[in-house]
Amino acid sequence: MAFDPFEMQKKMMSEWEKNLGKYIEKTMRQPEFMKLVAANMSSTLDLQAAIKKQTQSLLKNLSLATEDDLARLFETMNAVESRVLDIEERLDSMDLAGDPAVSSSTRTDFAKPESKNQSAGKSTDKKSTDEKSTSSQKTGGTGSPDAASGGGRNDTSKSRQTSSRARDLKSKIMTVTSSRRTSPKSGKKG
Amino acid sequence: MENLKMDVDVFLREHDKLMGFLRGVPRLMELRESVREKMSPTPRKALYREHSVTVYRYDRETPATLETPILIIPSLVNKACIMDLLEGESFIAGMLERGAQVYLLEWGEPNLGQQRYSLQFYLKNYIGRAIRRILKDSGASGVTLAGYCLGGTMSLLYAALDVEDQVKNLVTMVTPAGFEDRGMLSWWARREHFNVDSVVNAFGNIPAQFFSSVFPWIVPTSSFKKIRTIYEKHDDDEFLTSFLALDLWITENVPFPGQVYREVITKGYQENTLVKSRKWQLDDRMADLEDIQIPVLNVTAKYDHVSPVESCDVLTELVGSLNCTSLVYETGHLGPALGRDKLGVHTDLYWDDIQAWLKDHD
Repeated sequence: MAFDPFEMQKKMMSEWEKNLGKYIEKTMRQPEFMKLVAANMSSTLDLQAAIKKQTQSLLKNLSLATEDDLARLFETMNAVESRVLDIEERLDSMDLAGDPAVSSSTRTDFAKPESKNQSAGKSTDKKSTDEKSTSSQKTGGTGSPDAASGGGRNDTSKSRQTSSRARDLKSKIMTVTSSRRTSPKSGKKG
Repeated sequence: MENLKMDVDVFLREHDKLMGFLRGVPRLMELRESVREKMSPTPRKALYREHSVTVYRYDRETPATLETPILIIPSLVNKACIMDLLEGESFIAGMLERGAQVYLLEWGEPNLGQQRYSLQFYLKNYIGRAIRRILKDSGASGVTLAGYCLGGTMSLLYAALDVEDQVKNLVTMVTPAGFEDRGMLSWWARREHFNVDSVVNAFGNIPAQFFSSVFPWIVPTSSFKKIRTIYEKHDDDEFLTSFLALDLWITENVPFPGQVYREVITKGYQENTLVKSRKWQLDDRMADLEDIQIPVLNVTAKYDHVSPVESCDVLTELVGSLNCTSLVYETGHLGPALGRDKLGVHTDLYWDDIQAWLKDHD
């Protein structure tokens, strides 16, 4: 069996690594060492905090946004995003609440309070109404007046529905925004 | 004479190996980048996004055979891709193959606005919404919450607060419930060594560099071992792909939301609140582990140096549920996620066991 210096070197390295690992771990387990690390960390963080404070004051003097301002802005945006998702979930749960017929009438009622007869008149399947409307367009608007007007009514209803939802959404967003504006931290700054 | 010839052969072999390694360094760098593209291979769709959080639904080719979908909650410290690292080393793909519908909550990089969000906010807002959305998406009546590492601790707390009974089963993988252990993290995080308030006040969200500079010291000689392994296996592309993917995951941490970090260190590591009282005080809610009455599967790893086995094992004693199963495997911290044993050899054992348990509790 020939002497393999590389194999021996590998074994030596492996032993050295193991011992070094043990030594470092033992050192790190010493309370005195940890005290030093904690003191070093503390001074670094104090310096970091001091730099941050100075930078903030400089940015304020230059009328520029500080990190805190950006954080508040992000918080507001996050709150709006969460609120939109909440509303989306509520709308979804309204869809799931009852059978499709009830659900669709609830939607129509939500959009615009109209007489039940009118609602019933529009209770034709939305898809088929749209199809009618499309076909009347294709024939140069010579479709039956009922169908055309029905389609028109439905469109108006839809747009009202949308604008009502948008209003609702907007008012909620405004509530969130205003509550953020009047938060104590923003108040202090103002 | 014969011996001399053998010595020369040995020398030449090592010389060739070294030269091959040195010549291969640029190729290694290229391989490292190409590995990035191979990570997270399982097809998925984003169900929704909220702030930095994204919830994904993984595509299935056939209908799920398990009725209850799984929501995976990864740790906040690293990227969620460890749950779907590479083809053949993916917990997510493993569960899909075993008939589950899988969802993943990816924490992402917290924005500045998230630095003041509390742990309760994270549980209620992000995990809560994810569960509601998944129930709606899947049509199921409950989910299996499967948390990994710190994600497991969060799942545990969520399950304790789950008044609507939306969590049907709880799977905790390498999840610390006790934080006072022989591990390095526990030692460093002690109150006398670590002033968490000054760290959070200085940084806001804790930067990824903070973790990537600290974590290698958990195993101080890990860098030497890494270089040695690459040197030994530099011509084995299959091994290197897997090795480099894992290395990318280990070295690329994500920032940790500041307030949540403060609470985890204070309540978890410094007060060890779950072991001492079975409770964790959140903003205005108390998470009491006694309230967890659902089936619990606790997966732990015998050679875990991040969440030592004794910290994880205690979990089953703390929860109120009488239906607790504990599985201890001969592997390291990432073994259950990658399906690898302590020698790095692929095994189906862990995922088969988890699937069998899920099937029993579906």
